[in-house]
Amino acid sequence: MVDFIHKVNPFINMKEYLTKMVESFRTATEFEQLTEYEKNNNSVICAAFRKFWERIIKSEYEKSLDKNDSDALNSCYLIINELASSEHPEGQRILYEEIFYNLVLEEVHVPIVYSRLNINAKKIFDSVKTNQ
Amino acid sequence: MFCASDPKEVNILSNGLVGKIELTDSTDNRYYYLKDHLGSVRCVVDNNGSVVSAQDYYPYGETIRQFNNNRYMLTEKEPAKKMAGKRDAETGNDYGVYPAIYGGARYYNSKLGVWLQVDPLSEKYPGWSPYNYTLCNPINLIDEYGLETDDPEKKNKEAILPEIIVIGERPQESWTKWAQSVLLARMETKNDVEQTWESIKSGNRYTTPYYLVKSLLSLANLALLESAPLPMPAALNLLPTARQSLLNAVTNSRLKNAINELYRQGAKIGSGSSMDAFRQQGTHGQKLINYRDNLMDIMRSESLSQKDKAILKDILIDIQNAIGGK
Repeated sequence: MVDFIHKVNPFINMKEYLTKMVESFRTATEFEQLTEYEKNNNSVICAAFRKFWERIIKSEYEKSLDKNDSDALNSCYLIINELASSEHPEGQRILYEEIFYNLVLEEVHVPIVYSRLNINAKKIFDSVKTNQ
Repeated sequence: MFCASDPKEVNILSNGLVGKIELTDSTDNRYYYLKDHLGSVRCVVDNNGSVVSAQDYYPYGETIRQFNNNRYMLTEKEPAKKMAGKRDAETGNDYGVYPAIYGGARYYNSKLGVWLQVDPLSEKYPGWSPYNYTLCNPINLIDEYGLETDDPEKKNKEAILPEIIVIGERPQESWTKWAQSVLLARMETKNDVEQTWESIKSGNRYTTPYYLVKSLLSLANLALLESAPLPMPAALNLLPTARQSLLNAVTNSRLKNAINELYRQGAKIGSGSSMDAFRQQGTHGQKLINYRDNLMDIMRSESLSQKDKAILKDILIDIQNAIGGK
């Protein structure tokens, strides 16, 4: 019966969710170059967020992070882990299809990113890798 | 051989229908059916051995996807699964035609996986619903006429000889050529093909052309799906490089971004497109819908060049095909 209980999708408005969780994403170029229509399209805004995350991962590796970026990076991992552990399946779907599937990382970045993922996010990360 | 009442078409019969000859004024077009273990037609080849159509089914007979080059529409002439009747184009139902003594035809809906009328022999199966198809075991059993469940292997064993005769009608040279070309599609070098071909020819299991057909069927399907193909949009034909070639071809930045997201960078399997991911893994459904909306918005609000428009249209068709199960 559990499957038949309607659960409210907490990720219906990703623009609001992402900009609320990561303040600096609102002013990032990845966000600003989107049209208003694209900002309200969950897949497109998630792709922009993925690119933003990729950029600060690279900055972290090059040790060129400022305070704002450092906070943003922590928030990014918070979002990733929250999506992975969400009770609503939409969270895992977004993480799999919109974020991990097209994530472009260099070999050296992978262990750093992987170490900061929680167990659920690690599972999704591994399954994307297997299916590629 | 058996000539139907319609003089424009001749059926080739042995263990069921194994082919058709279309008689035209100038020439006879021959089509041969390659069937799977159940006897469902999976592939049709012509005189020259080239594949003219092919399709895959879900266990209960609904079409997963199909390929044809418009010369021969299989679904208009044949039922999806091994049945004595044909698929009704209007309703999508198949019908099994059984002897009139039991009351005539009985319709089968492959989407629901049930017969739509009660089984006339339902008293023989008191523990089963009178609407069930093959005792809910559609991968191993067949129900050709909508009456009783049969074991296809048993039926094949009973009718080995006629199969050989019918297949033997094909010119051996042309058949060999076709089989080798199928093998070539799966092998790296000519040497590999020749070795495999020799082993097939000399192996005990493949002593007759009939078994050769069976053994090559899976290869033919793979070759068909991987190299020859589904009617893909022209812009996406070279799948492994689709991403880069599309990115180079388009000029609009929003369209570029969309393509960037719909095709994985450095994909090792297939084209790496989200459409392929959806077809193969069943994921990316929502992403495709969102991107379709976004592409429609690009089409409406951006002033695109003719080339960008054509590519955008192709991608939209591919997304739509993927969502529609093609």
